[in-house]
Amino acid sequence: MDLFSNAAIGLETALTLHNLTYCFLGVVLGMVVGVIPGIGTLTAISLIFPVTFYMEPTSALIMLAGIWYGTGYGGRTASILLNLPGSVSSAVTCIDGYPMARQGRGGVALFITAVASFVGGTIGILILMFIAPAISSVAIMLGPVEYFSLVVLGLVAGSSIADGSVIKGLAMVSLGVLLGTVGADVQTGHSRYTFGILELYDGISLVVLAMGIFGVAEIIWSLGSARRDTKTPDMDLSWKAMTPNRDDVRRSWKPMLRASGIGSFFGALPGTGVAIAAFVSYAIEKKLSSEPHRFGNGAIEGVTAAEAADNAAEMTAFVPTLALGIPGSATMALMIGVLMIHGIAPGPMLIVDEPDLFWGLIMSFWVGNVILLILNVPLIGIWVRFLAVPYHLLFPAILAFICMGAYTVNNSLVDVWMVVFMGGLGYSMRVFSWPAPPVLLGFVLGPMLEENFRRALMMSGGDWDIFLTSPVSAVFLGFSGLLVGMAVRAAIKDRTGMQGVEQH
Amino acid sequence: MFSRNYKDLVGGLLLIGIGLSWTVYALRKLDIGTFNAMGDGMFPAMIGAVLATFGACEVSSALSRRGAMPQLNVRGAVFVLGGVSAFALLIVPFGMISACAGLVLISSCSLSGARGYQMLTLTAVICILMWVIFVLALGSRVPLAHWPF
Repeated sequence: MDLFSNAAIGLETALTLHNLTYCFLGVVLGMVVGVIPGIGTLTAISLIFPVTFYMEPTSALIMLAGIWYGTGYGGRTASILLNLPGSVSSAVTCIDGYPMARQGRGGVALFITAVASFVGGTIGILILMFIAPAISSVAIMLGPVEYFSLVVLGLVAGSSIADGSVIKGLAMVSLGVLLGTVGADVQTGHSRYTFGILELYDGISLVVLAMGIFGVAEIIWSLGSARRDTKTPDMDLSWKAMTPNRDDVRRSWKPMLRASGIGSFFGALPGTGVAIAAFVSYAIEKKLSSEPHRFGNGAIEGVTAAEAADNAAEMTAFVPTLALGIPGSATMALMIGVLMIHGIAPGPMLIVDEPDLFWGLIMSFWVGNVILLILNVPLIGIWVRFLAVPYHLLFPAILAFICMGAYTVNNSLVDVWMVVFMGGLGYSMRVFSWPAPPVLLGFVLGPMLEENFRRALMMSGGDWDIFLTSPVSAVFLGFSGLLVGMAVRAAIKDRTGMQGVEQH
Repeated sequence: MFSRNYKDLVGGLLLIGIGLSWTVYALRKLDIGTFNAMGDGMFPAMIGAVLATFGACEVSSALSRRGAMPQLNVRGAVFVLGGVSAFALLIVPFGMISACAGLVLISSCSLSGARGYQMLTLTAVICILMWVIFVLALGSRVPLAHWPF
């Protein structure tokens, strides 16, 4: 069958000693950089990828694949063990991953994310191979109207996962969108909300936002709570404690598969895919679960779903990226950059003209994932031990990482001050029990929301009906309404009961 | 009176405030345009109003619910944010070592019982770590120590 010969070509390329070495190197490098708290996946990749300029394109891309996995793993480590997510998807992982770490089960969380990402990635690749052509043709049919509604759905899904009230989640998503409007408007080029600060012309940096709202705020919060004088949670460092037990496995395998499917679907849609995938899967798992209250408190299903979806989505994000030349995610944008630097133009002809490259790359992603899974085992112990350092010594180190990270990304002082501002904002959010991950989602998707809104209205001549007359759009909006309705109903039932559970 | 949820009440009011000020700024300083041809202020103005609406929902639901008072760690907030600010102020004129030192010393004031000797060692360790990771490994050009006068 055509598929298997493609896979064969790919594996042939991926498994040469030359390329394997590059992949391995990439994974290790990525892990070391990615785990630095405060350096997100994207920053880590961008810091390392200049190294690839001097290599041939195939090897460069393969190394990038390794780097991608490594930084993803490192970023997950930081987000699970320290509640410092470097990207939107790790923000979802840490919702349950961090409580797990606090309960002494950080090792288990890390292990299961490695497995989930492997499964998700593999399923994503398989689906990619089967459905690539079909998905591309569907994706092309989505216009601004449909995209707008899709993003609305993503945002609503993002807010309904917050364990506090839905209103708070929606408010936080809106806040995120507002923060995303800071900077130059894409269409007119006028600066908005920059108050004359030049560096804000490009907007607030995502990494800075995340470090402030998650990292700094977390530190302030921990300092105020009872555990300030004690070590960060005692972790059982034995082998047995680091692997998931039967209960964990039983709870995880179905979410893993479901999330992989959902992730694969979303990943194939250009632009929005990956960010939304993790959130939506998490939300769905929570809705499907018979014990929704576990989510947010260390539910392994949450961690699994987020990771599997994210990885599956990243794999299928290849479809629009390589086939249409439109990046399906930020990582893909980097990939396109690498290709162009080497003089290769991504587009529909790429699969035909350079099958070695295309399939070799895809297979190396898979190989990278395998390498990661193998390396994962000895390394968990190291990271977990890292946290045995007493907190009053650890937190200044984390702050230093955050400050240096923020400053060195753009050699910009404004970024460091932004961390101060975001830290204050993030802490206030904790005080008021406003959930933080939706802010990140709103921030990332806000520009897309705006752009599609504009285009849609331009197409319809200012008529709002267009969002409902398009069937696909109406479906997306309908789902959003459904999600909100369900959550509101649940909240009303709960009204005299618990005041929404705090983030920790 | 005492059965209101003050945390959400204040929170909701804050949200209304933030949303409204965003909208007002957009209306005054940015070009709104029409629905047909949106200017750059239209979207922020709308979302600001959306946020304010959610804030209002919060306020109204807070009026009829009990809730715990928020706990505030003012000392922690002041010293941690102060520490990061110190970093921002020190790094360009005085270089990385001073900036890290300032950060460590000030943010450690957020906890009682910090010992001077420990702080110094911690600062030294952190500076070395930062140097290894950012300067050696990642190659950023951050001056280590600098005297601007």
